[in-house]
Amino acid sequence: MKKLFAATIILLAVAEAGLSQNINWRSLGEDQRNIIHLNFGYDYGVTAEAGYGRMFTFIRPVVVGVDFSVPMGENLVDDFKAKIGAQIEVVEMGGFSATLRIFSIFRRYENELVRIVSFGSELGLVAGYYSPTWHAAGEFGFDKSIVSHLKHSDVMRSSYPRIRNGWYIPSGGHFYYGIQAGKTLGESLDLSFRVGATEAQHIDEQAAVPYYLQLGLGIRF
Amino acid sequence: MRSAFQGEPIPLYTDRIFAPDVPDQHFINHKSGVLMKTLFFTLLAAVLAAATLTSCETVEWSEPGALVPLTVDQDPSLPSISVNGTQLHAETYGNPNDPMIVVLHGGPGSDYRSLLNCSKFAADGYFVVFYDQRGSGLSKRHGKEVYTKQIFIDDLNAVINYYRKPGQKVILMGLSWGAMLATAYVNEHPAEISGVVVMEPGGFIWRDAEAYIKRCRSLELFGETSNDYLFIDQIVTGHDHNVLDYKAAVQAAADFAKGNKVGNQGPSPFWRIGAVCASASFEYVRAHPFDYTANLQQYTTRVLFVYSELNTAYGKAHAEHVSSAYPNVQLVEVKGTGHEIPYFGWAGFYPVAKMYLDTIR
Repeated sequence: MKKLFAATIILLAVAEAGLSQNINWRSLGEDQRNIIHLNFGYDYGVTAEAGYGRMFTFIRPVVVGVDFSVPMGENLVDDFKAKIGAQIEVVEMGGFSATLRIFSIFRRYENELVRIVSFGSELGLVAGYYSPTWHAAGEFGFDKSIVSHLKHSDVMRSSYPRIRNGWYIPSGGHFYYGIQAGKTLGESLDLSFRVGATEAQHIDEQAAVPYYLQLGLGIRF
Repeated sequence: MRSAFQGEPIPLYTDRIFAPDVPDQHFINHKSGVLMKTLFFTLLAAVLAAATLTSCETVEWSEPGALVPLTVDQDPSLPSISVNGTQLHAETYGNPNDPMIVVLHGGPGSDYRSLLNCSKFAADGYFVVFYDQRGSGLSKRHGKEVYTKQIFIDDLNAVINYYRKPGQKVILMGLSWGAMLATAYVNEHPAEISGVVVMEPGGFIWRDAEAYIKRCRSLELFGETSNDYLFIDQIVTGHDHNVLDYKAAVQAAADFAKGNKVGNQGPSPFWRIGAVCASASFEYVRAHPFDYTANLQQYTTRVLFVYSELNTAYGKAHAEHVSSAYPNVQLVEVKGTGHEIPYFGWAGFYPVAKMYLDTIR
């Protein structure tokens, strides 16, 4: 039931939003400037993600897009992550390609104790070999929640009445590093796979599960 | 999960494109237009957010007192004792000359606030001592390198010696990790302790404790509680005790979330979680597994071993297995409560505990 629910959410998200994630620049044609991605995996929770991207060429190829992801659970609207940004192919040399990724990130989190809305950013680099039908690359980046608004529940306030709601500036973030690969199917489909680890900027804040895993389906049109 | 913020709007800045007055055909025919609107409103939201922030006070996660209470070394008004090279948040109830009960909280990393019902034993003629263990609750924080098996035993020994009068009986009363610590102390100093009340110790050897912890905390990949626990890691970041303790407190909501395996019926009060203490202690015992049972057969005094009806991760079989390390055990199930027995199950626990205490006073 939950898987069906997750699949429904993915489809709904695709219908309403868009994204860009794993891009094989060599498989994009002049008549295929739009990309829809559906991803599922682990990213600080088991998440479903969907998005849309559109390719432009400003000196170098650029894909601008948005994506939206939610962790699984009974309540699918209390926590989510939305990203808007661009991926720019900065180097192309034979089959080798390097892509710079820049995203602004909006996150929302809620549990019994606190509701957090957070603005942040992600900067990453993907580099590897790209052919028209497949690609394999390594990736590295840094993800940081820059400013967050906290509103605490009565339960939290009963434990600590002087707790302060408001905007908070964090002092850390997470690096991520891993690999990704993709295979083109037919004229317009791409299957992709990402796996890697996250590393807290400060060792004491290591994530409970410091890994990510993503299976993706891209549709070009 | 039940929302603690019901009735408040969810700030989805893309609400505009989902508005019911937008005809479907219009949406389909103008997808690129919708994209541009999405981008526009997202950028607008970012600009508004930035503008709002410039006019709002911002606080650093690590600011003392903002998200978690001050500790005894930061707030001199808190009751404390200085022993064994640290400063512990501590308080006592009752006549100092009465038999002493030392109450030991769980964790490692929790605090004694949810155990304060036990202060009522003072009215029954006991001197009740509470303290937040090193690096926990409102006690002074330390770096992770100090947390070993022995440090908690040595701290307990120091607390007992701090309060104990010559010839005074000492009874240990511990919940969860506190019950394990009580047993570790009895294993090391059996002649010093006149009675023991243990409530749902995970295990007296690491293997048993680890198995219990896994049953308590098994992740359900598609569950709200699991994902609430994990998702916050990407938002709350920092490396100082204020930040880490706060994040641990938020994640501790899993302990009372709907469907929790330890049977907690709701939140129980706490002051401040010691995140470094908790993580460092677990890291230490994984590398140095403990066995607190080597000398327990020499401890022939009857021990009151209590477990709860609603903790499905514990149960009678585990209670019988763990308690068998003691040669003389009174095993009791307290009805109508989960793991937080003194808080949610006081009505059932108190008469059993009082009867036991009165036999050894």
